[in-house]
Amino acid sequence: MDYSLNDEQLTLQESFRKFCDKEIKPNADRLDKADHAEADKILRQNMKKLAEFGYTGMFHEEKYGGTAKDLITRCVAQEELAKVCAASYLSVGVSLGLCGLFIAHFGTDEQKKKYLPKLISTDMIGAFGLTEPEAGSDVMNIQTTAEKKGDRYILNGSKTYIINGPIADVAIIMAVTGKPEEKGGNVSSFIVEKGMKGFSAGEHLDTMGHRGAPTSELFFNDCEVPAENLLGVENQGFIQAMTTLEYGRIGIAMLALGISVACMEESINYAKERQQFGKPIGKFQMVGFKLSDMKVLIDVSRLLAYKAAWLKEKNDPEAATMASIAKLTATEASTKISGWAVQIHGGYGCMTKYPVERLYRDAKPGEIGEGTSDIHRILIARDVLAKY
Amino acid sequence: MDYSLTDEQLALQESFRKFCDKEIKPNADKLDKADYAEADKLMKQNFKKLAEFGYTGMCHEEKYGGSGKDLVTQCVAQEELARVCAATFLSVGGSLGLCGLPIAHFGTDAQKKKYLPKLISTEMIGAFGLTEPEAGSDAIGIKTTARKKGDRYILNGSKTFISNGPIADIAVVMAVTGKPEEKGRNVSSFIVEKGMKGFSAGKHLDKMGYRGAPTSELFFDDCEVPAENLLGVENEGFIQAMKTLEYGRIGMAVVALGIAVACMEESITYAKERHQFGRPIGKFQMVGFKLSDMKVLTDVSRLLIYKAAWHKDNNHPEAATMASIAKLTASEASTKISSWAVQIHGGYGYMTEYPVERLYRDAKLGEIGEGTSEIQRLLIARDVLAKY
Repeated sequence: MDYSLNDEQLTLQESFRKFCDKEIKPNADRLDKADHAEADKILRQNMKKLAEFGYTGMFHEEKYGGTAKDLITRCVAQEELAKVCAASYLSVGVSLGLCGLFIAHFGTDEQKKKYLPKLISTDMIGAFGLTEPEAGSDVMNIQTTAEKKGDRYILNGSKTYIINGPIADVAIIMAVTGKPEEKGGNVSSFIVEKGMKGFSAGEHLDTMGHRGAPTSELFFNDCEVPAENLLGVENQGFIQAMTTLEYGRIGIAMLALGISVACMEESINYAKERQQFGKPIGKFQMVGFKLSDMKVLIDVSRLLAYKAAWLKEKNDPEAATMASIAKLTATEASTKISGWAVQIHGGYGCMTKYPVERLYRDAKPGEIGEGTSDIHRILIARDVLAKY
Repeated sequence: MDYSLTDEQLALQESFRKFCDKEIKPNADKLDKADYAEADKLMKQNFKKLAEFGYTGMCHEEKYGGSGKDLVTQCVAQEELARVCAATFLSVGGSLGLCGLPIAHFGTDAQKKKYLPKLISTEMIGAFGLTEPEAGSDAIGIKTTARKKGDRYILNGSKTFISNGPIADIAVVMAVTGKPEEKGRNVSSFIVEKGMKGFSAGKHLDKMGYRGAPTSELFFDDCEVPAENLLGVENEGFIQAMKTLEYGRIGMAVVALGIAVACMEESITYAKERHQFGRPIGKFQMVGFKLSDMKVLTDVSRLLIYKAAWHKDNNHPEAATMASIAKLTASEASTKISSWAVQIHGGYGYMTEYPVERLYRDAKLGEIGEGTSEIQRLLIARDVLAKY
């Protein structure tokens, strides 16, 4: 057993933290408050900077321009970005993670060569289209269809809450290709490119938090997708999803952890500086206990996320459940911690000029995206009932 | 013992609920989203409508244009307004309650005649200035001074987080008049009017929630206040505050309850309409338990509020502590419930077009204003230690 980070991870942590503080953090507030046009501009600049650092390539193989870091090393870096800017973290994660990993795992050599280098350089931005208005938790109920017609597939339907939707050059779209009665085994994944006939993105959806991460619907009206853009094999879409879901879960766990750490750091600073009743408020037990609970929950979240990452690296059968446990715990902790952070800041915590106000709005969706807390409880319960 | 509402209370509840749904609710979202100029306009319209209904006069005597309702009856009405528009509730409460009640309780006949009818008609809007940048929970630590000079007092200092600050015609302002070493017995209240030399309001402060309730700093630069605008007796400011604090606590408890009830109603409607996995999501136990916990907590909150109001109406010595218990419980319940409401709505709960998104942002303030949860706990503990 060994809980230490290795030298490479420690070095990366230090240099990326400096980078994030210098290049990403100063614009985080603006990214949250600006109108969508300006926000998209700032986000693209962030993506370019992160590509230059080498962050975007960490998830991918060297032959496509990546640096192929193991999942724990990625987590170490992810926490630093999540801490300073949830919106940037989410956009990059969707582009390189959800979209990019699908291509990396299930794509042909041509597909990988065509898209991965550009996703990594951020010349292309990617999205992932699964969720629909009538298919959230009930993901198998998606209605978008893809009908084979000669050398192409014709897609019809729509997707919603698609991160990067308004700015995506490429999107992995899941659509029904098989028989309606074969739920779970009737969906395929397609690489759809901006500009393809019949494919359009909706306007920016207005969200409570991570407002800088552009989100929209995607529409498919007799959208023509070349047959070579099928990803992997027909009707394997949900199987593909099952083999990659740990990445999304761990990714959101790390985002939640980053938000929590930012909340804790802001709260500690404020608790030392803010004086009431003749002393720093951190000296009062009721403030102290919140800080201590923040610390405890953060340490627990990090331990669970790293364990989930370690299990996935080893392809351990426990990996999926541990990823659920990490995601559930870290996100619920993050919501609580963001609440305590606002509380510690008192009235100032409700003012938009204080970071914890934004963090409070950013924290909540962690309990919803990438599988709601409720879904994760069902999965963990199912696993427990099967194993004990 | 009798938990029932009287016929008058039931009739009021029904008619005011209809009024709020028709006149206030349709604009609640716009009030939250509009720029400040437009929001202030909507707010003033709401004030006028509420005056016409008779809501603004409920906490004041008939001889000034009020209807002199007991506190329990006021709570019955307050819940209906809080349910549809927390921002309007807060502004009107700030004007008629925080500003109007000190004048009603400690003012001379001349002062009451001069200000109360206009506050009730909403021709004048009032504010209450106690909190300062360096004096939040530590209210006794306020630094604004009022020095007697002939027939006037000269005020110097500033206040912050003042509800109605940007639009107030008058404000009850607390300032130090006595010796610094006599903390708790050295503050007086003054009625300061817009237009008085040296008095100005800052710009709208940008907040997470209650965005329609205009909030700002107030500045006093050698502000000249006529001696007849002293409220009550010199150096009795904190004693005055102690006599009226139940109203503020119960008021905040009711707005928290209103927000919680709105969350619950939205969630129940959504849980019945939204189908996933072939059935309304309300049929799943994990959604059902949240709804049940919402019901339990709102019932508990309401019972505590009514008990606190009844105690106050009867001048019971337990009134202050019960008001703390009600405020603490209702506001913490409201934050939890708003979070469950967003959770039940899934991704939609995160979109600004859904009311629960605004309710989540509105709820949190309840744990901070009118005495933070921490302060309420200190007071309750002190009372418990003294009594048991």
